[in-house]
Amino acid sequence: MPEHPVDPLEEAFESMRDTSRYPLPDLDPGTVRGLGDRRRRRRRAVAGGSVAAAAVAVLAGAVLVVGGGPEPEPLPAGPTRSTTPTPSSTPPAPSGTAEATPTGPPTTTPTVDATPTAPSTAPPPSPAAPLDPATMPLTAGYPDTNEDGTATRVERGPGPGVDVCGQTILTGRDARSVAVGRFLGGEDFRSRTLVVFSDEAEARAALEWTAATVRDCVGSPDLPAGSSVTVLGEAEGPGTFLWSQDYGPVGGPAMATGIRRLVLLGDALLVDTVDGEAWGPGGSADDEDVVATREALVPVVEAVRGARGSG
Amino acid sequence: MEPEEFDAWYEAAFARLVRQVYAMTGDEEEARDCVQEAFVRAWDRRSRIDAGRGRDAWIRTTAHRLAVSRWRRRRMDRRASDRAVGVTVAADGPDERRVALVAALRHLPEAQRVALVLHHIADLSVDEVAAETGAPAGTVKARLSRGRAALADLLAEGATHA
Repeated sequence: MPEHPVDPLEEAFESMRDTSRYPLPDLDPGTVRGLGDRRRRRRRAVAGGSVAAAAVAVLAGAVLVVGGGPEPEPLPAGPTRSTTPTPSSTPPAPSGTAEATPTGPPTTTPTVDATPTAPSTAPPPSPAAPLDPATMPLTAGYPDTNEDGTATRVERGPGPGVDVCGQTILTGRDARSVAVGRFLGGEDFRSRTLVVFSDEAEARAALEWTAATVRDCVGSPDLPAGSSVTVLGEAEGPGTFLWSQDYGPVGGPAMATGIRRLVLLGDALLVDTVDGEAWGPGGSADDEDVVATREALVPVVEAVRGARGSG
Repeated sequence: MEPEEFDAWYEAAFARLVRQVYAMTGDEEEARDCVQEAFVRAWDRRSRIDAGRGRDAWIRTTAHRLAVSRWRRRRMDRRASDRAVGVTVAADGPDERRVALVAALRHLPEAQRVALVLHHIADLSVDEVAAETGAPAGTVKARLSRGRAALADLLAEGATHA
């Protein structure tokens, strides 16, 4: 008879802890790493920035700067705004896209020119011309389809906004006009919302209010458990604001990251978000995914600048 | 994390993590699949999981989430491609105690089940369980106490009916 009575519950727990006869994993470690590397390459490709492009973006870190400095060199890749005078003078746009015509009336279908074109040689439109955000290539670099098979596209109307300590802001609901491009992947969610205000002062006020709101959120009890916010501020230049939010078990490593950035473009504010398990850390402006998403946004910034006719 | 370090971790931790996720989900094959997939993701994102014991927590949490997510998807639309590896496995054979324990765990509320698995199978302290689940230590203690009592009853009931 045992000295101590056997606790059946403890015995059952012990049987679960004992893995001495457990079979080896199906995949050897090298195969697991190989799959992980492939996943990483695919993720990088989907992010719209190759390693080389990301390196360029690091060097051209001020590419999102919207004022107070020299104009950045336009990057060769990615869609740019067409200045073709009439839609009929260009080949039909691919399905789901259309030409953005700076002088014509807004198209009824919010679409973008997703085909890279030559840099503009025509004079820019008048700065006073109203910007139609739905004609901007907000989905540039996104996959063509969402996980459910629907096409990624630019749509008019409020964007999904950004959650800051439980408060959803930057939907653009009350702005003069707003459009959003979204991509919904399995573990990868992205959106770009272009909010056009009545004037630049209003847009700048929105940027500054958001910056203050995000800074107040750092360390706030309103943050979900296991979540933390890192403010990178104007790391991408004046007139920009960058922050990230991590999610994961409390005290443990982050499982998912959200990277958010604002870019002031005259009377417009571009809100760029990426979220989900597909995104790596965003604790520094030099982190790989921060660089890749910055690079991916350049064609959009350039297109809006082209449409406004100024930086 | 260097490849050698990852390989050693993978080989040492795979079985215990499968057991832990199995205890949480009740499906051993799915647990193997999800832990395997979590390790693939871990290598992909190794720069963010260099935190010692936090590595196991990352795999455990990712695999558990994957298992829950797959279960939800299967309810709507069975898709073979959801399975990351899809290999039918033969684990180390049924063990009456393990089968009974997992069956009993499935009758408990998820919060109690997770607390019991983390404390009694993953061997985490109460504070570590609190950190991983985001619950106060007092709440974890209560869950453990109630969970153990319920589990003991369920196991006794199972033994009586056996």
